[in-house]
Amino acid sequence: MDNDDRSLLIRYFSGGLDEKDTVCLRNLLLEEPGVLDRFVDYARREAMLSEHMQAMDAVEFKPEARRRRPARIVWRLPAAIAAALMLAVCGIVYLSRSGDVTAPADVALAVLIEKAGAAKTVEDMEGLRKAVREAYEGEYDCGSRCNLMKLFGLGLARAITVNPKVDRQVEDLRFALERARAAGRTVARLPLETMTMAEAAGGLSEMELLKVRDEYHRARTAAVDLDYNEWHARLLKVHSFCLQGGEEELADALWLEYFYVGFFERGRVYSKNAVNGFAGDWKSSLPGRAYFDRKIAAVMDPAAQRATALAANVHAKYSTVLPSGKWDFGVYESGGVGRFAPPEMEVITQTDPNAKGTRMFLNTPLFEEAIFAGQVRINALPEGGRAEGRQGLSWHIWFDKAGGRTWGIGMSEVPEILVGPWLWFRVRFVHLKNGRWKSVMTVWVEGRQPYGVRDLVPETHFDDTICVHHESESPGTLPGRASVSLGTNRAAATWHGLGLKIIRPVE
Amino acid sequence: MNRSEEDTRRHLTQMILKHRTAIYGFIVAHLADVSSAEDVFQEVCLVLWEQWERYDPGRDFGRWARGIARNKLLQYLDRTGRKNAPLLVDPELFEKLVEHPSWSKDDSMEKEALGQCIKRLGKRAKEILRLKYGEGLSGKEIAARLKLRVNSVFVSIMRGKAALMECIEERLMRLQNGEA
Repeated sequence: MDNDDRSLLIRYFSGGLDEKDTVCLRNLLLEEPGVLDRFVDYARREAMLSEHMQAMDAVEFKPEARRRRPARIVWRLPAAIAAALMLAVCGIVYLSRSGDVTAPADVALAVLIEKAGAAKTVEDMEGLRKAVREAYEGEYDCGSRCNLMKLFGLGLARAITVNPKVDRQVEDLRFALERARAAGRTVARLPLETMTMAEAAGGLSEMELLKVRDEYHRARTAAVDLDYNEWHARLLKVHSFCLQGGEEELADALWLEYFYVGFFERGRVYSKNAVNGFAGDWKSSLPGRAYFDRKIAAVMDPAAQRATALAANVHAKYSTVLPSGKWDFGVYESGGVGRFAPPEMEVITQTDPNAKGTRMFLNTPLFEEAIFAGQVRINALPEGGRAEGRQGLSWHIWFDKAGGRTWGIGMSEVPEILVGPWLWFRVRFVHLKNGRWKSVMTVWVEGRQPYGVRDLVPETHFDDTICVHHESESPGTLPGRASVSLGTNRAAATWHGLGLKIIRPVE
Repeated sequence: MNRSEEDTRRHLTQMILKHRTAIYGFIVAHLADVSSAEDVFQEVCLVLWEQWERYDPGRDFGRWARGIARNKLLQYLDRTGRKNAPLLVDPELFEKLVEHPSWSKDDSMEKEALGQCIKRLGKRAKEILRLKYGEGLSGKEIAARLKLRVNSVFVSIMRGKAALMECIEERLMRLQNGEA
């Protein structure tokens, strides 16, 4: 193996080989055992480098970048989430080694959860990230004794985050921290190769936890395959099993995932189950009622009641055109302006009767933070639409009753690949403490996991096959009434609204 | 699950963890970008987990896992028109790689050496590698992010990796000679 061969391998693993050199490399690999040995070594090190850098990615801190674009704080959150998970796993494993499973790391995570709960501004989030980083750094530099990726691979931590990408799309830091905490606790009870686990009092046995993980895997596989009935049944089964086994934290994590995915990631599940069963059966029948009442109901019940009313209204209005049993806010076809206003809500007047394209109004009660989710199909773009850059998806907030002052954001230049298939969308509006509004819109292709979001860049970004993510902050600042309008500018489209969650009502 | 199944599951879990880096490395050797490699790796892990009944603890786990990874890779490459395959897919080479014994090497010293060597990289080189592997950005995206030319990014990646490889081998040599 000479230097030329090494150089060839380096170039190969850096993506810098042309076809001729690739053929050359292939021949070398087939004919020179030494080159093949080296190739395997380099490939293994590529994997190690990737693991190491993903771990580093969780703790990197870039104040200069944040100063330039403070809105990016949200897409950096998954790094903090990953760091928090690592912190939990690392800390607990370290503590388990010393025979103490009371886990100060768990306590540290609880502090972070509390901080996350109180975080409202960019500065809060920066402080939180700093806390995560500092806590994490204390555990990070522990060499092979503390192999992070390996620890990641253990127990529910691995089952829940089969792929690190999964965590990258989780918007709700509190949810992820809670999950990390539950996963960390679980890991503390699972077998490690290099140590004997301390016997934890109560809870499920190791084998039972493995059973949970197995069932969870099956649920996730079903979700990926869009088999939501299967997903629903399995996740609930695991949840009940954990609750009955005294694994309350784990059950909480699964429960949160169930809600999160059900409501906002998987609109079909919401449409099928949530409206009819959410506010009634599940709440009263499951042993998780206390948790439900404490953490979820206060936020979700009002939204569920509104959603139920909306659904009933839409069904009454559109019963002749909607497929039986399908739950929607409405269907608005190209060229018209649709408006939907349940009796208990105020009506917004469309101020521009000549508006083109399709638009759906959802006039909501007041909120400071909300998520709206649904489906849209862009049927066609106008001639030359892409080049003009004025077509695409848009979303707006109205700041006063009359709709006179609005903040609207358009995601222009819809790529061809998004024209035709059903797309899922999710818009999150946040009224920041400084008075400004922030919105994050994510669009992904039907049939793909929304978990596929990788590059959460602040500007409009098109990944060829997966997802569009757009984040922006309003230039103006007005508190008060907010209404949402989602539209497709000058492009033929059909919208299905599937759910609204008011996270923070106006106080 | 009966006891035997539980034992098999437990053993399988340990094996997946033990061979994780090697399985991922096998996939990375055939795919150009981190994101695709992660997708395939995820699929492989799920298959390994689901097919536990077919796992025989007496067999070479790494070989079995690489066989599954090979099948998943081929499916992925077929699905994507082989655009992401930098290495020309050759059945003979594929088999040689699946069978190669070096995948099962103990990698703990290498990982430790890698961690130390990364610390010695320059700030810019480290940042570029982090963006590539940590965030999964392409060379073009890294160039845009750092306001560099694409070519400069590739040169920097190559130089950074060459320095890392040299450093790792140097450290491993010293460890083997008992100098570390």
